[in-house]
Amino acid sequence: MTVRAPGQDQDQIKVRNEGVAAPLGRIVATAVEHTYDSGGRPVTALAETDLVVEPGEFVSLVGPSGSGKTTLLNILAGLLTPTRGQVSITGGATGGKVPVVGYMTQHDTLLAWRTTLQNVAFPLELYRVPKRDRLSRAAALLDRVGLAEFGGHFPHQLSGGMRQRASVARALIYGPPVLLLDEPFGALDGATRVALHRVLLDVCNELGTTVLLVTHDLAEAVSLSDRVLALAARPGRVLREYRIPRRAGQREVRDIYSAPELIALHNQLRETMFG
Amino acid sequence: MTTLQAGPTAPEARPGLRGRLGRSRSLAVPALHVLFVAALLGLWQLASGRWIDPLLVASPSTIAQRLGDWLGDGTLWDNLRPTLVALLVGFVIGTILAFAVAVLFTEVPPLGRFFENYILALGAVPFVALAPLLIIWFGLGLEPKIVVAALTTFCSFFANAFTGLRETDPQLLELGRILHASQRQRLTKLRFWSAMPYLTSGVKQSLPRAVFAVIVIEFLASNKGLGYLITSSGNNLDMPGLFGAVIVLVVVTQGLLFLIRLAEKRLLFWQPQERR
Repeated sequence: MTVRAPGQDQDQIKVRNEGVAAPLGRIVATAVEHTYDSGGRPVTALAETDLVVEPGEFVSLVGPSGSGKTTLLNILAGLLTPTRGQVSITGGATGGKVPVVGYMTQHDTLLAWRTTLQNVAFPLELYRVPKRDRLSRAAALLDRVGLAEFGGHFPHQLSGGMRQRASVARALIYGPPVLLLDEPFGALDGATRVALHRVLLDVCNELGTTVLLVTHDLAEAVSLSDRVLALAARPGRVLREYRIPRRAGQREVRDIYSAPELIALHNQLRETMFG
Repeated sequence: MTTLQAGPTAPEARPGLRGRLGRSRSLAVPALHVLFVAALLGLWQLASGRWIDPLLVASPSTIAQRLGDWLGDGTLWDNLRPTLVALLVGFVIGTILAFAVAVLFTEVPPLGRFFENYILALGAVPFVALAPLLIIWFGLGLEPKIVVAALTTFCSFFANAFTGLRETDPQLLELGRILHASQRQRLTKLRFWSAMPYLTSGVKQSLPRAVFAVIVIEFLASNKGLGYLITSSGNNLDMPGLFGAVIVLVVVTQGLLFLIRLAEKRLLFWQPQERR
């Protein structure tokens, strides 16, 4: 299922940035299961799960704590090896130098000793992209997420929303076909959130990035996604799936308060989640 | 030496932002320190011969005169040089070795878990107590001093370097894995910088300990060095010489610490102001 062989890292980045259509970013998880040992007792973090996400699709995962959302993202990012089952993402082998996924974890992991620009360019530095090249690409992406003037600031000089923008930019700088987001907007105020949604949708639409978003906010899930997966806990598993009708690329969180079909879906989802 | 300390603590002048106020304040603090030290010396000079017996406590003027003589006839440099050389060579060797071992222990955790306690226990050994042994092994020259300075620095700096490297935020290491950073990149681009505050404070802690170790060796057995100058002046009841040598020692140590703090400021430029 792997389309690209590892080792063609530079080419891969170029292809993505020039927007050449290729079936990149298709996620296929087959019978994935993860069990870990908790004091001699096996705990199933994620029960057998099948998942297919098409290239360019925006899928949200909602569910209570312990429903395996983060476990699933960690498996897709290659941080965890599933106890059973298989995962494949088109766009490169998981062992390649340039990762096929961009992963923004729950934690703020901007490097305190680097400026915003250097933080965004950091992945390219790891992949030995020449300095001028990587800095100009980082600057372009910073501009794209609205941080053009803050390239020289250190993380502690940025607001929470700005740090999240910089983190999104860092996760996208190497052109991964898949972007994984683990509750990226949790700690932000409403206005900042909506602004970030806009940036995220725009950039990902433009690049054709497949997005998998973990969120606790049902309204956010319904309004941003093509599909919402409701998960249940103990053991973590997918309970139901909702398809969200696309409205010509015009999606915003505020739509949920006006579009009747979104309101209906939101209510259904809430019933599934909270009974 | 007090004036030297004033540098890093003085607020930075930001002409664009604070304008005149900032600049005059940044000059006012060092000026106050100079004034304070001058007043202290004046008082001391005044007291000497009136309330203090100059045979027990030398006056500033006689100390200055003695230091001037030593500077002129080369005594000062002849004794400062061996101390400085032993100190710096031992300090650099100890720091590099400690860092290398800390890196090894961080990268090979089982090794670290096994040997860590031995090295920390080694830190409790007062190496100056080994002086007689080292002198038998290496003689009276620079070598025993270098060895003691290196050992002292090694133990003191190792604890800091190892803690700093090991305590790197697991989330940053996870970022390294997400981005497929190589083991070497994780060390040089994540662990090293994340440990930087520990490393600089380790250097600041080790230096005075190394100075102490070298001086004690010079007390015990040597025919050159600042420690020798102090003991030989004492043996001759040469109070100005004794005080002068001690003052030189303090000034040199503080000068080195000042340079270290300057380097630290450049290395930790990224930290929020209030954490520096």
